[in-house]
Amino acid sequence: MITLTHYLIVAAALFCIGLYGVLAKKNAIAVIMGIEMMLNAVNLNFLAFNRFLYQDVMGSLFVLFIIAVAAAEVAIGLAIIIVLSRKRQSITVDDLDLLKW
Amino acid sequence: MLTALFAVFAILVLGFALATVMSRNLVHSALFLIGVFISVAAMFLLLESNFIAIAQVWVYVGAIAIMLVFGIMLTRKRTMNDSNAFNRYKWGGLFAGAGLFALLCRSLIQLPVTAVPQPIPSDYLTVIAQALMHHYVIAFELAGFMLLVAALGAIILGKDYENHTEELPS
Repeated sequence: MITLTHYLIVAAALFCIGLYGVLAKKNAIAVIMGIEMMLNAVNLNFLAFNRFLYQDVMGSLFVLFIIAVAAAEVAIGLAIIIVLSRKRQSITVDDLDLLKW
Repeated sequence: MLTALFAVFAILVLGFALATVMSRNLVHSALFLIGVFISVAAMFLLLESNFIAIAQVWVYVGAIAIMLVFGIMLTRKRTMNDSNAFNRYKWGGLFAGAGLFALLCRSLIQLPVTAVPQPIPSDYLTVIAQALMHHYVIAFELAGFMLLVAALGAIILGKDYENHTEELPS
């Protein structure tokens, strides 16, 4: 019998793997991949809570809006990364220290 | 049956996610990420959210993964080998991720397991459409407007105005 806890643990594991990718990767595109994994984990959480605790479609609506925001975020993030690779010949996040004093 | 399916897709999700993070080649990472998206869509199907699963495949696999692959190709250096290295926080990040997972699990296993699946409305898609077009129509239109602005912003950013200064919008 699959309960809410199983889904939440899978989502937590996916979130933490995405967090690891965000924290520990050099390439900015890999960081965006980690963020996408974290957003997917949050979507899984929303749908699991909706399925097990709430007799409505609120969770699905939240997930739809999160998917829209994720698409916009990837488009803008990749545009910024492409501009950076053009200007500074590097998309290593350690090199992006423009705002450092 | 459902338990076996859940176990299979949970292992697939976590295996693909780990492969995405651990892979040394960024193109392989992107392929594994598509695997993560499809497996998560399968878990959405197990949660009886058919429409969201289809939307997940459309948007994530159809649009976001393709955009990521385009970004990889447009920013690549000479070779893809070792294009996805770890920075100096490899072990610190692992500690942070594993620590957060341990904390979350510690609180999750104390959840009461009495929650049972709620009945799904039989006209599930109609309910979603009515909510989006009636109660939340402002938020829905704003989301569409945000996508438009994001697309325009991405075009403006990506266009190389340094070399085409005469085309700058006045």
